[in-house]
Formats: sequence, C-alpha cells, structure tokens
Amino acid sequence: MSAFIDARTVPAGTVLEPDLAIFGGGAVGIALALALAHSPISIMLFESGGMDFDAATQALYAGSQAGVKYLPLDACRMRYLGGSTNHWGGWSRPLDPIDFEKRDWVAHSGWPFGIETLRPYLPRAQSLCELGDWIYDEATPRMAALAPLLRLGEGGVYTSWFQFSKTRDDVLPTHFGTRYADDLKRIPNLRLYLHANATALKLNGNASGLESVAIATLSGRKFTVKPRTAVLAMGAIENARLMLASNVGNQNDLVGRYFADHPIPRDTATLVSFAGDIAGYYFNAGLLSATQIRATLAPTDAFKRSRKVLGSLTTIETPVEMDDLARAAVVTAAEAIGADASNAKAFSVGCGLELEPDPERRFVLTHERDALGLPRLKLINRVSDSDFLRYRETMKELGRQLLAAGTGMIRLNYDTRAEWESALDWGDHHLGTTRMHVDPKQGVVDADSKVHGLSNLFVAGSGVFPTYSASNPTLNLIALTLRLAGHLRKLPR
Amino acid sequence: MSKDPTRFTRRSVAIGGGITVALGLAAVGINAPHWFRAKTAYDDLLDKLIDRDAAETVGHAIIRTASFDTKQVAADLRQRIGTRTLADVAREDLVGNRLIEAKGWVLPETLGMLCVVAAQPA
Ligand SMILES: Cc1cc2nc3c(=O)[nH]c(=O)nc-3n(C[C@H](O)[C@H](O)[C@H](O)COP(=O)(O)OP(=O)(O)OC[C@H]3O[C@@H](n4cnc5c(N)ncnc54)[C@H](O)[C@@H]3O)c2cc1C
Repeated sequence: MSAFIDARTVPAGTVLEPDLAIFGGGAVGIALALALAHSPISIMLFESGGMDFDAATQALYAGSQAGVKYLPLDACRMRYLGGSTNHWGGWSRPLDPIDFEKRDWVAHSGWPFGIETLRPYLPRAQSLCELGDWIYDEATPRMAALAPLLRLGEGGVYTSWFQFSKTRDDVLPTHFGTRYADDLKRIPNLRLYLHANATALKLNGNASGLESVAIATLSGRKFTVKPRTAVLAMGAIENARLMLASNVGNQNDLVGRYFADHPIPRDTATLVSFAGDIAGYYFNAGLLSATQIRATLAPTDAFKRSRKVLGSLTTIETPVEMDDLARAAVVTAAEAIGADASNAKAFSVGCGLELEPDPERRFVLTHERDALGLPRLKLINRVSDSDFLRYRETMKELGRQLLAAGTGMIRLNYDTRAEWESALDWGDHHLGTTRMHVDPKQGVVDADSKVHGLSNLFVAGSGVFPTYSASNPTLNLIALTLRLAGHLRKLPR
Repeated sequence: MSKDPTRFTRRSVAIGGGITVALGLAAVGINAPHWFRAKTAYDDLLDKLIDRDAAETVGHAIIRTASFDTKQVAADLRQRIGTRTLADVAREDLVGNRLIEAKGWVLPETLGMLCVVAAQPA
C-alpha cells in the first residue's frame, strides 16, 4: 500500500510523465482510477484538496452570478478528496431511455447514443455508489405488497423509485474519498497527489493535442505534468473554467454554455389523499432487501412525448394543514365523484425538474482571480417559463389521475414566475458545460468524451451530458466514466 | 362541424380582470347556510351538489381569475349533464382531460362550472 503524495513536497519544476493524468479526485476521478487499477497504464491523479475540508482550498471555488438566483459557487460543491460526494445526498436513479433521444419539443436535445450504450456500466456504477441491489422500478409490486401504492387512474404519471447510497451500517451515503482511500492506495499503477491544483492546460505546437498541465499548490509550489492522455474530472463547473482560462476546446464558443442543474422548487403542490395516510415509502427511504428505496412520482415517457413535457421527479414530503378552500375543494370533489374523504389528509409536494438545454445559461470568466491566479467564474443563470409550465402540466395530470382513481386531488401552488422563483432551490447537480455531440459545432466533446480537435484530452462527469433528465446524475456519470475507462485502456501507450 | 357538447362555449368563460376579483372576494363569507337559501333559477343544477356551501367557496376561488356569464354557464351545464349523474359527467371530464382550477385546486370542469353557478346564482 503506498501513501498519497503531498504535492507541496514535490520539488519545484518537476516534470511528471504518466501515461494517464486524471485531474480531480471526486466521484469521477476515483471511479476512473479504480477502473484502471492493475492495467499496464501508469496513472497519476491530481486532487486540489487534501483528505478533509480546508477553507482556503474551498475558496478557490468562489465566483459570482447574475440572473435567476443560484447557489454560491463555493457552497454547491466540495474541494477535497471525494469531491462533492463529501456532502451529496446519495439519491440515485438511472436515466430513462427517452433522456437520450432527440426530442423534437426539447431544443438541443439528444445524446450521440442510447441507454443501451450506458447500460453495461450501470451495475458497477451502482456498486461503487453502494446502492444495493439493482431494483428501481422493479420495486413496485414488492413495495405494494408491503403497503398500498398511491392509486392513480390511467395516465401519464406513475410511481417510480429512487435508491440511496449507503456506506455501511448507519453511515450514508458513500463519501468516495474516505470510502475508497485504501483501495486507491493499493493500486500499484496509481500515484495520487493531494493539494495539487491544475491551473493551466497547454496545447502542443500545432494545437492538435494536450502537451502539458501546470500544477500549483496553495503553498506556492509549481510543477508540470506531461501526460500521454489526460482526463478532466474536476466537476462540470471547474472543467469548463480551466478550459476557458486556458482557451482550450473552445473554438466553437461552447465551453461553459448549456449549464444546467435540477431546480427543486419547494412545496410546488398540495396533494390530498382522501383516505388519509399514504404509504411511508413515499415520505422516507425504506428498506427492501437491505436497499434504501423511496417512491417518487414521474411522468411516463409516453406522457412526455404526447404532452411535450420534460422529466420531473416528484416526492411527497410532509403533512400540511388544510385551509377553508382546501376543505371545500376536497368535500366538493369527493362528493361529486362518490369518494369518501372524511379522513382526508394533505401533504406538501416537492420535486426535481429537468431543464431544457439553453446555450445562454452559462459560465463566463471574470477579471477577478483566485489565490492561484485563475480567473473566477460568473454564472449567468436562466430558467424559461416553459420549464415551470411543463412541470405544472405534469402535476395537473397527477391531479387528474388522483381524481379519476377516486383517491385524492392536487392543488398547484404556483402560477406566476415570481412564485416559482421564490420557492426555488437547486440540486447541486452540475450539468452540461462541456456537452457531448458528434458535431464539433454543437458539442465540446465527441461521443467518447474526447475534446473535439484534440487527440488526447478527455472530459468526464455530468458536464458532458447534452440533455439532462430529471434523474440525479452521479450513478449515471460514473457509468459514463467506466465506459471511458474501457476506451482509455485501449489507447496506445 | 358539429358543436362539441362537452365544451363550454367561449361566451360563458372569459378571462376576467380585477373587478371580478374584487367582487368575488366581497362575496366570500356572506353566503346564507344551505337550508335558508332563496330559490334560484338554477336549483335543478345546484341540487346536484351535496354541500352547496363548499361548492360556493370553490366557485368564488374560480371566479377570482375569470368572469362567467351564469346564465350561459347554466345553459351549457344543462346540455352537458342532461339526465346523467354528476359523478358520470365528472368522470367523463377526467377521462377527457377537461379540468379547471380553483386557486390551483384541480377539478373536473363540469364540477367547477357548477361551483361557479353556486357562487353567483343571481
Ligand atoms: C449538497 C450536494 C448534494 C448532492 N446530492 C446528490 C444526490 O443526492 N444524488 C446525486 O446523484 N448527486 C448528488 N450531488 C452531486 C454529486 O455530488 C456529483 O454529481 C458528483 O460528486 C460529481 O462527481 P465529479 O467527480 O464530477 O465532481 P466532484 O465530486 O465535485 O469532484 C471534483 C473534484 O475535483 C477537484 N478539483 C477541483 N478543481 C480542481 C483543480 N483545479 N485541480 C485538481 N483538482 C480539482 C475537487 O477538489 C473535487 O475533489 C450532490 C452534490 C451536492 C453538492
């Protein structure tokens, strides 16, 4: 077992020449290193942080923003080994087949391949995230046998399932840094540098490939890496920042554009169950075969198609009081359809939404610089009205199905943009800044995650997702990373 | 092309402005309890509602955002419901995705329109 290397002890001016350099030791960097363990490739992984949170390192993430309020850029991710998995929620769900399609009602949508390309890598990604057995929507009959599902009339919304990352015992979810530190130390072909920040990418003379990467520590140490192949794994925001700052891969002005996250507007609706209680697995994760699982309400692919809506995952949250209008609406509707609402209870509803890709929702460089001299980023954030309205359509459909089944009803809590925005939170799922497309004019990386026009530079993580889905990204981005690992194994050394 | 009897006519539903909102609000809370109600020209319809007070409350929520010609709404309702039960028509609305919102509460359209009549029967 070899210890991690403290980059602050590397002699200044050193030039390191691995076969493969990975920049960033979060979910992606760690998954990639583990996947290439014991291969003939010599790997070096450069991680900005150490083993724990450090305020000065974290401050390198700070930036500014304009437009729809987003999270502070230094508070929506983590900068030490394990990256943002050091405080992720562990919510997981695979992408749906439709997420890969070019949808004519979703501008700029479509992946270069379908889910079948990702599918072989999902089981290993599932295992790395410690998500338990692969159950997801196969949970429906099993959970229904434990407690009845929320009965819905035929239509566009159905009960789907999240699974949750679980480290072991009561420690959840998996923090990749601490969980896999020992495994990383055991990899004979890996050297992992802590406190090592990639600060500049330099191309070769004819700009056909990456020549070197400058590394700096906050203590002032500087050295160079000249890898045969490099993978940027610093998270979607930081990958774009380094590429923009180094003017690499941006010949078509795409780097930093198409940023997305999942808006999580709180209390978007009030759901009334005429019978009162709803199965506990709609509110909290429950155990099924030692797997943490929770129900969510999702639009079917057929509904997305017919009503031109995007993905969304709706959760039932906490009981809420009913006001006079609520009681009147419940009595009136239940009596009209012949349902018994004498025990009715109301619950608040939360959700995560898919956004339509938007080139103008983007990161740009500013003149401000961080402690290592890198320009800081500014986010220009936008959410279109149609993104909210499409979700409203889905909720309305849920309301229709509840009434049709005689089980309950829905109140849509937000109507105006101001109301939506006032309730807006975000998932901390950074997507889309280095999108994948076979056409260099439409994507930063190709279908293999290689930067267009460069022979040896790859980008990994959810920054390459060209269309986002409503599913949480980590399980899926790790699967994509494992696919990349397969590709890297075959590269000439 | 024959008229769709399940659709409310344009004349009966029009997006309203502030005046309707103000009137709607003023009306809330001054409704007489069901059993003291004066007869209206729409009792054949309103008798389909079990709890007319509740329906009135819902109706007021609907007319906050749109104005309705009660007479026309009632005529549409009579045509749509005919001799059927409210439950049957409501179910038909749900299958046909004919919905209306009362301050966000999603309801079958026919039921919502009955509530509108209940809220402004004069
Ligand atoms: C609060 C929170 C909750 C979340 N909840 C969920 C959830 O429930 N489900 C889900 O699927 N996802 C969730 N996520 C997202 C999840 O954490 C990310 O999808 C995942 O961590 C992305 O992996 P990554 O390796 O691409 O980036 P990161 O994990 O962010 O790792 C990037 C790494 O790069 C390093 N780095 C940055 N800059 C440099 C540099 N210049 N040089 C060298 N190294 C650098 C960082 O220190 C970091 O270790 C959540 C995120 C947050 C913040």
